[in-house]
Amino acid sequence: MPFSPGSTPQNDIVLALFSMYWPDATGTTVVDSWLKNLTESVQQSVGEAVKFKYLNYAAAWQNPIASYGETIVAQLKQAAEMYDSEAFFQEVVSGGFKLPRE
Amino acid sequence: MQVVLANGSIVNANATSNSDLFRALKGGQSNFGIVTSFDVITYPQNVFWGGAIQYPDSADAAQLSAFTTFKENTYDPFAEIEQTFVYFGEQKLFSSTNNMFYTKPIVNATTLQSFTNIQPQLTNSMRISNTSDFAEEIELFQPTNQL
Repeated sequence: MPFSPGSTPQNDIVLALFSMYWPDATGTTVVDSWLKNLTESVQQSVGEAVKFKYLNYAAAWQNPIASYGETIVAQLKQAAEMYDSEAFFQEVVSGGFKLPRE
Repeated sequence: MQVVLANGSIVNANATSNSDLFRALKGGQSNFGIVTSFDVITYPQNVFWGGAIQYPDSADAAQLSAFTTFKENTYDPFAEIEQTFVYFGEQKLFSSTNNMFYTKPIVNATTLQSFTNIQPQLTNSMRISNTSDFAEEIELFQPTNQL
C-alpha cells in the first residue's frame, strides 16, 4: 500500500545492514554464525515492533518474504497459483527467496 | 513490465493489466515469471547538494545522537543519510561515514546539519554536483578484491 502524502512511517524505522568482507573463504562459517547471532540479538532488542526484512539486503537464511506478514504472503501465493499454477519458479528454478511454505 | 510466464506466454503486468501479478513482482522476487522488460517514469533531477563526511571513532556518540535528532525532526522528503560504522580489521581502525544527499541545490541544508556540525572530520566532500558524479564517488566506497 503506498504511503499517503501526510504519513511519515519512516520516522520510526531504521534499516540496519551488516556488511562484512573477508579475504579468506575458510573464514565464512565463523563470519556467518557471528552475523546470525548479531542479527538475532538486534531482532530481540526491537521485539515484534518491526518484523519487516528488506529483501535486497537479506541474508540467504533470513526468509524476507515471510516478514511481509500473513495477508501479503497469502496474496503472493494467490498470484503464484494464478500465473504459475505448477509452481515452476518456486520448485524448479533455484536461487532467490521462495514464497514461505506452510 | 513484460513478463514471460512458466507456460511460455508473454504478458504485460502494470496498474491496469494483470495488476495482481504487477503487485506480486514488486517484492515477491523470482516466484512468478521472468521480467524481460520494464518501463519507468523518469523526471529531471537538477544538480543537488551531497557527498560524504568521514569521522574518527571519537565522533561515535555524537553520530548516534545526530541520527536520533534527524529521526525525531520533521520528516524532510529531500534529505537522505546513510550512516556507516566501519571496522578495518587489517589496520584495527574504527571510523564512521555519512553519505548524505539533499535533492535540492542547497548548501548545508538544515535537516542534515546535525551531521555536518560534528567535529572532527577526517574527510568532507559535501558539494553541489550531479547524479553521475555522486555515483562515481559512491563507487569509491565499495570494497575491492584487494587484500
